[in-house]
Amino acid sequence: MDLAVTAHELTKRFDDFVAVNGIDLEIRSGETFALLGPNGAGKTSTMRMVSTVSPPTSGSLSILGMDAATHGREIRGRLGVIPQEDQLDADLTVYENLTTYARYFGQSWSEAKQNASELLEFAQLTDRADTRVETMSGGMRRRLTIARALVNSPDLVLLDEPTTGLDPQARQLLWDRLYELKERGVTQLLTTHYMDEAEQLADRLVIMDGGEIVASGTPSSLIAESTTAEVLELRLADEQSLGHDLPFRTEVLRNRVLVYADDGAAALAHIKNLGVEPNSSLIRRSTLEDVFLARTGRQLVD
Amino acid sequence: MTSVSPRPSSVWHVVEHHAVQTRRTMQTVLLSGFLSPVFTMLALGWGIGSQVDDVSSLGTPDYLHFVGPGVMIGTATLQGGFSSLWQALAALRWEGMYKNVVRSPATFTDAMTGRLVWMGILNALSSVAFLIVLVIAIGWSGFGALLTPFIAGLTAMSAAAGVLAFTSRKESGDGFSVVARLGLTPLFVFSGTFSSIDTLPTAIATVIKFFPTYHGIEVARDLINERAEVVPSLLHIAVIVAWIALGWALSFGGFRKALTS
Ligand SMILES: Nc1ncnc2c1ncn2[C@@H]1O[C@H](COP(=O)(O)OP(=O)(O)OP(=O)(O)O)[C@@H](O)[C@H]1O
Ligand SMILES: [Mg+2]
Repeated sequence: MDLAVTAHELTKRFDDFVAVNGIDLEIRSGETFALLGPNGAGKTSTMRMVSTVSPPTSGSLSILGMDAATHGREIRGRLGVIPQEDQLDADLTVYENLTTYARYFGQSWSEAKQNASELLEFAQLTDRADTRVETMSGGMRRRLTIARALVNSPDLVLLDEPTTGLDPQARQLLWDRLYELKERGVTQLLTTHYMDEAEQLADRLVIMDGGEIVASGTPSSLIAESTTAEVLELRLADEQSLGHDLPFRTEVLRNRVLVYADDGAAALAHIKNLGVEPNSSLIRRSTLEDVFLARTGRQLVD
Repeated sequence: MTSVSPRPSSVWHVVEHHAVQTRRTMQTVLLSGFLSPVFTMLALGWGIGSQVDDVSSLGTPDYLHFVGPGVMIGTATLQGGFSSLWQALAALRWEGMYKNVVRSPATFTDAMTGRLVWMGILNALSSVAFLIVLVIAIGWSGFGALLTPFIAGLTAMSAAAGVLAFTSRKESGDGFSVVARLGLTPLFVFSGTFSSIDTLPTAIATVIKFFPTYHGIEVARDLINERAEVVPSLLHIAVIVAWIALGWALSFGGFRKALTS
């Protein structure tokens, strides 16, 4: 099998602080792979190592068949990197942002211009070509950042929290663009702290916490392995509690109680039989959020 | 991260990138890099120059021949040095220009080098414009004058490199006004720009000779006045180049930390 990224015992330390603690990764060509984790999990640090911008403290890292320690320039020539924060040239136009960046990848000005027009189409920014970036919305900037990362037709695209801070509509538009990339066979590595984003986009993912990988697999296998098919969410009155001898795993959160059961309706009936009358109840499918909770005892997003 | 030596093609891409950005701020560049020094030179050369009866101590036919090259190189110092304060901090930190650069095949040393080369080119170009005005004002003295923009470019690079060594380690603009007021402005004024450094107290003259601006002015003045000799000129240029090398080397750690940690 063709691997786009292979990392072994990958470690990043900042002075005494271990940001990434000996993780292993294997990302297959053509797949979309996600690093899901809360703030400070080490996602960005990992991405910066994979983008060959930040040298690992230790461990081995191979990207597109080349050693990251010795072939940085060659590797970066075939990567598209979307950083967590947009770093666009605010004084330049949308179009100039693309053409000047394309030059770094060895394109002639005419190639760069040709590509820029196509990318503007892809990012749905054609009518903004001559707009200065300064004046654009967050969603448009994000799309431009993505377009710019594609100037070199990369084989591997790295997206660090591509949709954080965007409204639902802008988010959906971005997801559509990422699906399209996937259909073109582009390998994608993305980070997110949104479980729905990981479920929507990723073929496989790892869950990171505190610089370590706490779980890995496909979204459905992770859910199947770590949690029940359904979750019953209850809101109880202040003086109520479920007691300790339920036949289900429960998690008590700040304002609700989660009851893990393959059949949520049956669980609710069981609880009502015990004489507990919740203020409200909701039955839903398990998500990666529940996987994270099961593995770490904490919530992904507070 | 592979290799830290700059690659010419990547350095050139950084230069181009700066050139595209500078087009956007052309008015400021024209004002501070060309119009303002031209006015300074003409005002001093014609204004003060007419009050100076005895120019024999200057070793030039008139005051304009003296102050013209001084203002040209002094301006290059100011422009180069200033560019390494807020603008460099923005490119390195907040605006993230160089953070994008290091995600391409280019490296942090390409970014540093490209920045300095661009400052050299930009100041050489504005010095060409300045030189044209100077030659119109004082008349054609010979081909040596055509080398002065090159000296101005090198001097701008040396000032940019020296200040960049400071800025590359900083996360904010603390101390920038000190560098500007106690570093760059005195260099502009006291490097033999408006009067011979022999008129300064010896201690100050000695310190001034340690910095590149004085050497740039000496060469440019000799070239404009058709009295440049090869060996002394090369020695002056060597001091300027040494400053570029020193500034580059001292900026290295700051750039590496800011861009690749
Ligand atoms: N340059 C640095 N120097 C010191 N510590 C750092 C540096 N970069 C990151 N860290 C620390 O390493 C840890 C992991 O940071 P990282 O940015 O990789 O997390 P993340 O998963 O991307 O988080 P977020 O969701 O907030 O973006 C954090 O505790 C962070 O403070
Ligand atoms: Mg991050």
